[in-house]
Amino acid sequence: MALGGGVGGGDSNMGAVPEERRKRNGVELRELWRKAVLQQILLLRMERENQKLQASESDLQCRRLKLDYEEITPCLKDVTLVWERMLNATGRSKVMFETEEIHTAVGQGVPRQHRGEIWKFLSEQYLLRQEVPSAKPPNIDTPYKELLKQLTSQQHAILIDLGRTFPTHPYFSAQLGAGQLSLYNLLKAYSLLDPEVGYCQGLSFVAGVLLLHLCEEDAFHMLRFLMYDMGLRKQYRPDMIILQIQMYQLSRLLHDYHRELYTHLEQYEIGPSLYAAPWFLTAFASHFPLGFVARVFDMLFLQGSEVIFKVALSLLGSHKPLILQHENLESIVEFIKTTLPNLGLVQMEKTINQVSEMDISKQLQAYEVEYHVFQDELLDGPSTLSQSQRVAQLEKTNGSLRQQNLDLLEEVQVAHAKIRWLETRVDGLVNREVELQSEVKTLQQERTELQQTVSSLRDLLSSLGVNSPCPDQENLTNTSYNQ
Amino acid sequence: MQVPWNFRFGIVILGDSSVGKSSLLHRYTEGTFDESRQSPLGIDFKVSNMYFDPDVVIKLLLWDTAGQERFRSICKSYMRNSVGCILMFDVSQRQTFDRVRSWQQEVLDYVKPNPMFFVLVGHKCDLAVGRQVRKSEGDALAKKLNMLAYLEVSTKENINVKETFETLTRGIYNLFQQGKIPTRGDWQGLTVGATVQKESPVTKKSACCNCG
Repeated sequence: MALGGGVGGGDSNMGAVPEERRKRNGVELRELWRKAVLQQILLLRMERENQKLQASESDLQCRRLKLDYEEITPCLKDVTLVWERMLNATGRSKVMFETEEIHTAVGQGVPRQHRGEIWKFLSEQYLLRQEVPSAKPPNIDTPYKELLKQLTSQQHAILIDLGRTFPTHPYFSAQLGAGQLSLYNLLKAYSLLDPEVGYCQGLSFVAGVLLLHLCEEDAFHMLRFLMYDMGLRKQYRPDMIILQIQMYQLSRLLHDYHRELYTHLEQYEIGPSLYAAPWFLTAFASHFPLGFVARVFDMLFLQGSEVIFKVALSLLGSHKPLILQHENLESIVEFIKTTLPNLGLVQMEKTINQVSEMDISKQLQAYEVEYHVFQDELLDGPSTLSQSQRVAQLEKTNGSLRQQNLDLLEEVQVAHAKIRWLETRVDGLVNREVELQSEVKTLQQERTELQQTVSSLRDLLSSLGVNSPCPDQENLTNTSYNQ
Repeated sequence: MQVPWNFRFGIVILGDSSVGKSSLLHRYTEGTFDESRQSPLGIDFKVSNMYFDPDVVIKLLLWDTAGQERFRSICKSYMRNSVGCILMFDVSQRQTFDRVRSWQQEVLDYVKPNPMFFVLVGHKCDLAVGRQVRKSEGDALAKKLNMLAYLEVSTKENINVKETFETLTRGIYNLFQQGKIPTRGDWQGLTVGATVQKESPVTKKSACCNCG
């Protein structure tokens, strides 16, 4: 515009032709201007599209990167179809599927690309079947985004573990890359949701496995599900008593199922705490190949935290001959810690298959009680401890009893809730019974009334000279003829 | 594969989270540096034999622990069966140095009446910038807390790694020879092996030697 104005002002004596050209120029310029604007808009739009494309491409790349592990139970096409049908069912989170169907499908394999969604599905199914909700933190409803805005006292502990969680995995290896940032967010949000546990070493691996299969927010919800609903959280509490009980339980289960192995380990004073603590605290994620870990998580979402015991038993049992060959403390532990996790695909699949057939819940309960009884006896027995040690031990016991008490209280609350639920259910059923009875009564009344009507109609018909209550054509014609 | 040993010492490595306990042990037993070693999540151990003086083999049971406080309950029984402790802090993290005293007190309280001997290690001394604890402070604290020595160590640059383990082992061995460490039948911190060839000045009361 400024250019056009300047030209027009300074060159007024240049005649008609330039004048005309000037006019054309003006029109052309406007045209050009419009074109340029349009093109600019188009360019911007293209750039945006491009970015979207790039984002989705890097998303894809990221997804490929995250899921780059060897599947140990390769999922066949028709099983994938079964999964897809269940995942895409309308109103999925409200529909209860057949338990049998779900178990069979998990047993036959879980397709990697749907794994995260399948975990969500399994958690939905679990919650639908759950009659009484499990204990939840008071701030359960705080949205993930809100938690992220807060500050955690666990910041230091979380930060120093970022570089030590899956340090060789391409998604997590870059210092403060996308993987580590997501991991930080997730662990921070959890520590705020659950101040009692806060952050405990080992948790970063559980969170990491979830992040490889789910977006950050979904991973957070699934972590919450595993911790609170599947009972993983107790072992991370600051006193770590549950972890020690678990070690005791595993040792007792070994005694039950693999006596020879138990005796061998006992001979070299190798308790489960020397090798199995990471198995429990990371659900096998810290030492085992991801394909195997993913299967353990499948089972974890299906059956809960008992799965860790089953996998541990199955692993140790299937390696019994090899472990028995080692004859000193260090080589046995070395074998269990480094050779055993590199088991072959066939062995892994076998291990997982065994898990779905085991039932150890009764033993686990019995051994937990046994542990507490032994602890008590230990305290009551004659002691060579000094006064202060005895006091310290008593205090510790007191603390653990208090914790036990809290746990029991929690169980009582759950039981109460269940009773209340059952009571309302009974009430509902009684009401329904009353309703049904009155319905039966009215129906009976209706029935007698109808019967009366029918018989009076019959009477009427017979008085009219018709025999059959349901006269056919012939009868009718006969009657008419008769008439 | 089993080397006969004259003595077996239990040694535990303690200190705050991420001061470099596992890296130090890994460097000592495997000879390599690995920055991203994961936490032992409880307890880990290595075995190593140390040879000094003619005919003396000391088998070291080296316990590596998780630094996060809540894991302490799991590590405690291993502390009890140790005679030596490498107590570590990070020279670039002042607060890890400030906690040394309480670490030592806690260990001593816990292993009572058994003895425990310490070396203090100021780790990551290769860091040119960001140092927050001076060498003189480490020396002074080690002396004050009656420790065998203070060493500045870098696992990365392999400075004083071997020396740390040797200083502690040698110190305990000498104290034992002077009769300052009693052995008990039910204590496995320091065990006299079955293959002792030299006459030990201390009366042999350990489990394997009282058959004669």
